[in-house]
Amino acid sequence: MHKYILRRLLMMVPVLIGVTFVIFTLTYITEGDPARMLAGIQAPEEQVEQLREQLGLNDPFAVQYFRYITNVARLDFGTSFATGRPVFDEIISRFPTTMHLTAMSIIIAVLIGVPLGILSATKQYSVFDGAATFVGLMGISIPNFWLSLMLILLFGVQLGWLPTSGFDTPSQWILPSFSIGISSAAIIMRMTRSSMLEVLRQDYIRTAKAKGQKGSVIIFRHALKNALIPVITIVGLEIGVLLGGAILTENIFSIAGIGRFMVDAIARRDYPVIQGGVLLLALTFSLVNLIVDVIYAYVDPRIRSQYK
Amino acid sequence: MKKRLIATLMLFAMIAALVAACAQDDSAANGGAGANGGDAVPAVDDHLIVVARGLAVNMHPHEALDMNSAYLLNLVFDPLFRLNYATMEIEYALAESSEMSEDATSLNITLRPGVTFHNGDPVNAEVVRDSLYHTMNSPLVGFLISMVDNIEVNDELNLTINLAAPFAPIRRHLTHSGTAIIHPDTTNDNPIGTGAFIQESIVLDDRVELVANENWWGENAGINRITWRAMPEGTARLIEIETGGAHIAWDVNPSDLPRIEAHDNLNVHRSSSIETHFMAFQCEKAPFNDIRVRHAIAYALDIPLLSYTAYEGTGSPADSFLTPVVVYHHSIAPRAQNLDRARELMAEAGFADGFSTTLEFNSENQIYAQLAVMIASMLREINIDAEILQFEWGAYLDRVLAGEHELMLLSWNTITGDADYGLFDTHHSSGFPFGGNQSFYSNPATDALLEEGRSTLDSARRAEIYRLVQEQAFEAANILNIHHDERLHAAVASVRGFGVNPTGIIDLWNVFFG
Amino acid sequence: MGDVTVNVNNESKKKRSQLHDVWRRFRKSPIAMTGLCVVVFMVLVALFADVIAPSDGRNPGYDIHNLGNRFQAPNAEHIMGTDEFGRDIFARVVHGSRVSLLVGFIVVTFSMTLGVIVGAIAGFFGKVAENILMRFIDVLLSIPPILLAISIAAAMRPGMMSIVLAVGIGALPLYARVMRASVLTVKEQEFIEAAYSIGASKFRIIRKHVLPNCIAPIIVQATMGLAYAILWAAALSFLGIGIQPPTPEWGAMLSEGRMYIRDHWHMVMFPGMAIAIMIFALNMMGDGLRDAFDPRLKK
Repeated sequence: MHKYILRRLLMMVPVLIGVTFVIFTLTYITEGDPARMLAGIQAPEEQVEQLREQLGLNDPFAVQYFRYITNVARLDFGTSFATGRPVFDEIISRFPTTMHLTAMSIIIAVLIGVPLGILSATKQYSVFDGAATFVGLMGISIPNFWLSLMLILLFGVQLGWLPTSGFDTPSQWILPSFSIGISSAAIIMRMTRSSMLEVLRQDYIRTAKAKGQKGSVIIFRHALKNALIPVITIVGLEIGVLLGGAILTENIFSIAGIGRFMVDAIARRDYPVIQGGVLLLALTFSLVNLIVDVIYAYVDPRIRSQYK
Repeated sequence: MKKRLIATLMLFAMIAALVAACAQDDSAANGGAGANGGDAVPAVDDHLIVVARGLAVNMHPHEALDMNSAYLLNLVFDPLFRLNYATMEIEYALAESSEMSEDATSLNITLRPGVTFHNGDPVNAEVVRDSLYHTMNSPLVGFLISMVDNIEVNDELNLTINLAAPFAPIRRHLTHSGTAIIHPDTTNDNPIGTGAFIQESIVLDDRVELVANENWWGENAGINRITWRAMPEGTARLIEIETGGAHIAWDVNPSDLPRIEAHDNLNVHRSSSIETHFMAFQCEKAPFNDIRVRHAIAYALDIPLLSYTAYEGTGSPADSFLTPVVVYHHSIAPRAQNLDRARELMAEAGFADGFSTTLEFNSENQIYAQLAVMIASMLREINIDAEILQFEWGAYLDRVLAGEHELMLLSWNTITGDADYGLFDTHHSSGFPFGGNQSFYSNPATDALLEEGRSTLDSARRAEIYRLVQEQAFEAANILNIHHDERLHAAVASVRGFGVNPTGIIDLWNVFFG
Repeated sequence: MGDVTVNVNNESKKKRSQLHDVWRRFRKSPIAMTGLCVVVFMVLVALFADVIAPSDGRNPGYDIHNLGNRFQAPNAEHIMGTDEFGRDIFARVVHGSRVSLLVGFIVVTFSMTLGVIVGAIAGFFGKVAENILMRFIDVLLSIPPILLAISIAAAMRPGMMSIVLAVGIGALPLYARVMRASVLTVKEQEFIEAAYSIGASKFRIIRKHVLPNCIAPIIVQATMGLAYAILWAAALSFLGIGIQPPTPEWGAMLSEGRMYIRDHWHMVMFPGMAIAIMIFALNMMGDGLRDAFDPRLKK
């Protein structure tokens, strides 16, 4: 197992280098001169040129990229063009908010998705099952940026129950977490349902039934633990999706997380921030995937045996 | 079997722990900010909460040029002069008196005595000189006082600014936050000024906490603490003060005005502005190098309708490149819409069947999207097919400075309140491609007038000069002025003394609760 | 050589009856059929947009201004109300279906083609090629799609092309992964070995044997991918970096209406519903297709 984790960690290195290359190339070919943006439309060209030199924008691509990569290797992500502060500090200070939002929404997604999935699987073909399947499909079809607007309109504006911006107090957590959590809840519900159905068809469940075990005992003692294994994978994947979803949601709800910072950074061509932010998000995403895979391997002996 | 169940439960426990940890980090990040959420206005009467578009990009006054920074820098730093928000006349700030030489080439300044920085260090002529030199060397704001040749320190409180060439409006340039006086140790993280408020803490992109400067030389009407929160959406800002989360919503959408006016506990604070929104032609490019085409387009547009619809009846249709509050503004009514005349001119220019072009603007301005859609629709009447292109600011600047644009929407802020700042860079042939003359307008007669305008102190002569320049610009139609902006802010009823400056700056030390 | 031809003929006959089976199973699912009907309906609306909401001679049907008629709530004349220029929102939603479907189809074609090629090469050739290609896919997968899309869109002139690239590149890994997985399964099967043994070239084997057998999962993925593409294109337009006005893209309409959300809810309600219904239908169809292709899952 240790070897497996180590190998996976090593495999992340080329992927992350690839990420820096892709993002660096993208920012390099992007229209928009950061120096000119900082200096404004009136600044004379000599001053902008001086600024460009200062920011190291005049060097050829290879030089810039190599400089960046070697700095990153020393954990130096550069300084933001706009604020002059280290990119690492800027991002880390916003990271907890984004993680908090992501965690809140994954909890909501699990709390809604798993029980509903179990219920609809055990009552397959019932009215409830049909309704749940329908609602589940709807959940993955509603664009979350639209849902956010509708939730703001209903709960913030019409009813006045909940604040519609910020992320400091528990009442402020509700709307943003729900608006990104709902689609994941639907996906988790669908996964739980199909995985539960699969398990319920297994021989050992039939045996238990034949032996006259009560339905609820069968479900909770025998079926559930096995049915939840594939659900874990989906939950892991959804954490990545939610991390992405947080980016739009932070913008709609004025939440000071990484997402809003990144969208602003792209708009103002703050290259070091874009590069550093994407790299850290990619790292988080890869780590979450690794953790999920490890847990998955741990709970499923068939898979665990492969990694010995 | 049991093991697996435990593992599954562990996952949930982990997530829960993560949440708890994050929640803790979160409050830690807020630190001394006092983490007052959006739920209730604090009971303390002298604590003002403002929601605005954003925070300062940089709290070093010489390293920022955007409006969000200007608002906050004005509270923490003092320049030598300020503009009176009602009259747009020059007032003294750190300077106590000043005298301009007859030939407009040097300015003597006497400083206000006994002024200290937030850290207690005194302000003297030497510090002021070094601060101004620092401004001059800044790639960002250096252009504001690039006409300065050298600065002489005469004694503790007296200095002389010598100019390289006559420059009449120098004092107005010294009102800009980019020329504000800094302590030599000032950095973005540690702004040390002389201003009415001291920055206590900052949560990036979220909020800034300011406390009143007890030793300020000016008069603070009674705000002890300001929390300045960033909220990019206009609608969100309004909801925030409606629901009691803040006292002042800085900039509200014109479309929300009726709602604010109907609200018992909210007041609208409106003020004329120094910002004009306009459409510029790239006059070096065919077919816009043909004055008949420019005139045809001018006749095709219904300027009052554009202004009224897009800005919901706020502000006014533009009658000049300068807004009425700018000194030496000269009103010339826009050409009335006349489609027959427009088609005639198009035919004369050889474009009876029209042509295709692009209409570009910065995607951050939602109202420009509305203007563009209406303009494109009006241009269709004279067979011009204008493709609308929104660019992010960076890409947009690139295109505009490279002269790749054809029609574009932009605005100009005459921050110093003087015609020279409004017209020189935008209408003098030295202003392109860099400098602000994005229509690539070039007219030797205008150039000569603009040069004379900045070197003469005689205000009657200056009025005459800038009247002529505005008439020439109207005739050339290199720019079609569309709308004079209006500053719109909303505040809860208990906020008093809230005076809006046409530049957008608000002197929050005048505010008190009543 | 003769053997192979016969073999192929048999296979295509088998394919036909297989497709027939799929259709038979698909038809039985009410959810899948509802999805199909809605999608067909939307396609028809898109095709006949100019008939449903015709041009007035000078202006296209979606951009007829009537400033005396702004912000009307839904009524008999304008069933979805009017927007800030007095344009009929129904007309714009109708024309918007054309834009969204077009963007969706181009994106799917683009990312499916590339994804299938990458996945097939990785799956079939294995070793170095696989390692390099799949690491590249991992790179794309580990960048949050919305950030990747915004960065790509920011790098280009806004419009159809930038949307297609921005969304298409983000979707590429989905196809590549599905393709690789099914190639790996097919590769192990006996008839591939048989083709090798009679000396067929690798390229021919991929084209004649491997690809046809991977079609089912790719079709399912493409249906879902269409939903994905429409959703992300709308998200980009919502952020103002997608399709340019006055072209009525649903996401862009949402973004325009956002400013007026408090007084004129209909401006965000209807375009949002259009997106949701379209994606809902595609997902229902995709679900049905998957079940129909893989009868094991549906008992």
